[in-house]
Amino acid sequence: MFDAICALINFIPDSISHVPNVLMFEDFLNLAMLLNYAELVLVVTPARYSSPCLVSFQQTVYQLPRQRSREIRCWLLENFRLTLDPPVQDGYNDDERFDALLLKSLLGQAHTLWASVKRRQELGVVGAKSSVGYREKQITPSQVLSAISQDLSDFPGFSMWKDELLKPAPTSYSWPAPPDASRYLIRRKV
Amino acid sequence: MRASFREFLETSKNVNSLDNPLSGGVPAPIQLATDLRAAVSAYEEFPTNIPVRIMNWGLLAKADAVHPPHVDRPGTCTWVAIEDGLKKWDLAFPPRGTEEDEIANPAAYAAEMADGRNYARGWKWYSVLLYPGSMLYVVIVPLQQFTQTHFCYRFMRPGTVHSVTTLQDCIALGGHFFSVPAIRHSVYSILHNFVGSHTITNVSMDNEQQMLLRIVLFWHKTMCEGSSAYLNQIEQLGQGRSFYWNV
Repeated sequence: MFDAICALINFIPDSISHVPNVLMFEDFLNLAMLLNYAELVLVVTPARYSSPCLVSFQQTVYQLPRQRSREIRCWLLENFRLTLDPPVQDGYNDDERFDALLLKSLLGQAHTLWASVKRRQELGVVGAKSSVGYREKQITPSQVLSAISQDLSDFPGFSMWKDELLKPAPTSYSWPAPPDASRYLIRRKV
Repeated sequence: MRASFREFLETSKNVNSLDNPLSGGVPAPIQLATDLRAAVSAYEEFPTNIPVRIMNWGLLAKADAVHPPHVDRPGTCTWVAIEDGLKKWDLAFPPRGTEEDEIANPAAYAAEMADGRNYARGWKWYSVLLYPGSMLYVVIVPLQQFTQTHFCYRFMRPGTVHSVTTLQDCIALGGHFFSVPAIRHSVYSILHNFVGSHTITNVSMDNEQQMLLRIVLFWHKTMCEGSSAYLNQIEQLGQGRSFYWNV
């Protein structure tokens, strides 16, 4: 049976690319969410909150992916623009929309995450825990807010975080929706 | 609790064991596993290890063992193949039309999911019978893309809510991986799991996040460092479809 399972695995056609085509919006979304994750990864890593710090936990592991993710953001903005089809008014022009929505998506996700941690009782869930001495404690909303502020403080545009917190938190982690009857297209800059 | 396989088979107790060294090195399907593709290269000082015990596993379950609604290890796609026995795998999906919103909504991964199966949110449940030689894998492509792709492995993308009933004593192999068409679902699932933790899943985040972060490095190498080649290739393909990138 073991051989049969290996054969089943080999039967799967080699049909997906392992690199996104950013001209396809669906592919771009996967890239954008991974870039956000590279910024928020330590916020959602329970070991980060443990005291004393676990020997196995090394924050330096996360620095290179974060640095590379920021370089990918710059590369995207250098080479592509985000347009609306058909063109409708959404408060941005084609030159500024991409940058603005990349930032809005990251800040919105961080806001939704923090708001959801605050709503745990209403949601009926027990959240992630960290070790404090020999005990485990639920990670608190204030710890999460502090982690977001600390980790994103050097992210370009993070000064908008204060304004973001004045708004209601987005209800989901998804990319900001386009105006009705319109859709996003990503185009090469010429 | 420790027991031999014989003791497991002979016991009359209802047992569901999720962490067994059965996998013997069977990796996730490399055709789908972007994390394994990314691990082919080294990236400066980033760790090169793969947490094999996390990503590959074996299941032992006695008949009538039931695993109530949950989502799997944070952010991962799942594959499972039956060696012996029978399992009923129940899978939940949000209503069409609101699918993307629901999957990204923290309220859909809460007590209502674990206790009420999200019926109140309009989710629908489907059952799959798994028997020796059958393999449930995994992922991936959102339904609206189905017509644009050659195939659709949709069952167990990251964050898929499911419950499992063992109908006959069962031995199964399986594993987890990260896959490019489902990366955003991986991220949503990790965020949900941080908020809902053990109310909605059976494991905590562990070293597998390195597998996901390594994909950032892989994409940086391909897209930014290989910018000219990458841009030429996507220009030729245009916006109609994903491309088959021979890397």
